[in-house]
Amino acid sequence: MRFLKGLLIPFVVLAIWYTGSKSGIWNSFILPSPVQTFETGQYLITSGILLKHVLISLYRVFAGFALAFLLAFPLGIILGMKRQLIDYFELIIEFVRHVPPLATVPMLILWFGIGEISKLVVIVLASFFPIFLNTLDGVLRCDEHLLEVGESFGFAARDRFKYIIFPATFPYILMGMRLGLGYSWRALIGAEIIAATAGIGYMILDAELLSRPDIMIVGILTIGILGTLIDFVFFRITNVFVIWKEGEKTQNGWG
Amino acid sequence: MAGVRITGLSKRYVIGKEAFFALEKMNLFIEDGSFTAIVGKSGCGKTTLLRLLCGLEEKTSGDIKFINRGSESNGSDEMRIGIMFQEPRLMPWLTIRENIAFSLFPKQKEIKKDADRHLQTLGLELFKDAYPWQISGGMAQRTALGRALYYDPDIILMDEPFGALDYFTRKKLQNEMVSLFLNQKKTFVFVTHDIEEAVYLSEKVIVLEAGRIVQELPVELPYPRKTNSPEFLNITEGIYKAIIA
Repeated sequence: MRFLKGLLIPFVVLAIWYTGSKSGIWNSFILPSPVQTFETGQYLITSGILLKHVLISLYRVFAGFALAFLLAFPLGIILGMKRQLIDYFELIIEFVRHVPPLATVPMLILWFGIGEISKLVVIVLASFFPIFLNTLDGVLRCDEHLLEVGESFGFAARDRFKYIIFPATFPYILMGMRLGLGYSWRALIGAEIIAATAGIGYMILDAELLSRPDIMIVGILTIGILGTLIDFVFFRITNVFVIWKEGEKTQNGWG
Repeated sequence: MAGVRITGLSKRYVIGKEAFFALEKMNLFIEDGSFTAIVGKSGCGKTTLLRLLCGLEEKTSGDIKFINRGSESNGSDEMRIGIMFQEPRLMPWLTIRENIAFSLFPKQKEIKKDADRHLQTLGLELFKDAYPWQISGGMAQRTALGRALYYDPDIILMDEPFGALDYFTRKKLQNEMVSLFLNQKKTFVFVTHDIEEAVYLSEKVIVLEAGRIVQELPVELPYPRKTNSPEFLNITEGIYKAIIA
């Protein structure tokens, strides 16, 4: 039922779009009709062109995301455990966090060239912070009372981490990963501005050169739909692990 | 089982520029296998004493010695001390059964039968696979008690464990405590601000005031005690006077 309610507004938009195109309010060079867009989409799918671009983009997103995770997760844990180190990192992290990844693209091209590395770096920059900050936050929020329970039973530092800090932080890590995945997906177009020859971002930019708004729309729809799907799947899979966070589950959107 | 000998124990806190003693030169002997209650107003040093006993706080001066089968030892390292806090402090990601076995997670690969025994004794069998957010406050505190018992401690420290519970649940758990004490023969140290509870449960009541012991009172009534008997009321009255004096 909730899903159907969610479809109402897209349906209304589609109806307006269709009526507007049909009655010739919009020039089809600026906004092609839904029928034309659908046919283009059909062609891009059946010819395998869309799939090729999607696979390349997915590869970039997941590779960048994985790299970001490998950097952000340990750093978040270490800074959370050794709070005295936070003072050294706080300023630089705040600074970098406020620089949009896109702003670094010209520098990245200068340093890393126009190959895959620059594209991955843009995605890493985008998804690093949600993972890092959520992990750090989770460790810092770990209930002192629960840590005392471990201490009173004589847990060694390693066991306190394994049996208390890590499980307590786990939902925060997953939330950070979920946001990070979303951010990497959103950074994709920025990354594919850099002299790409394939990928959804490239497909959209290429369509601009060819004045093909129908392809642009198919590209935008693909990004949105895939992003939503990935988030949904990620949320469903990870929610199994945080069953105890029942109270918060419904607030996360996919309840 | 184990006893505790406390000599000249002090704990000094510094808050801002002011220093004060939460405990001052305390001498106390807790007998092996006894049930000692510590009563007093808020801030009298009850909780500090428990936290010092289980090593959650560092003492400023003095000595805590644990006596196990006649031999004395320093510190709580070789002594198994289980503590029950004011709040249940259960791990929200573990089931009730797992919470009970939590203390030995680093040492045991799987949960021993003891956990099921405690689940049964504490009336938690039906809820063994539930998570802490699914059970009531009374059941949560019982789980915390089960966790302390599973650790098989020589001494069980309890810091106002029933303070937040409703009257009926508290009464029920107090009775369970008495039968537990009579059956388990462990050393219990029970902190409370409820005089009646202290007299109902313990063999000796220690009255604390501003970090010092002002009275040590043996309670020589047979279990189970009747809270309306003249002897019982006499003792509670005496303790009440000692606290407000």
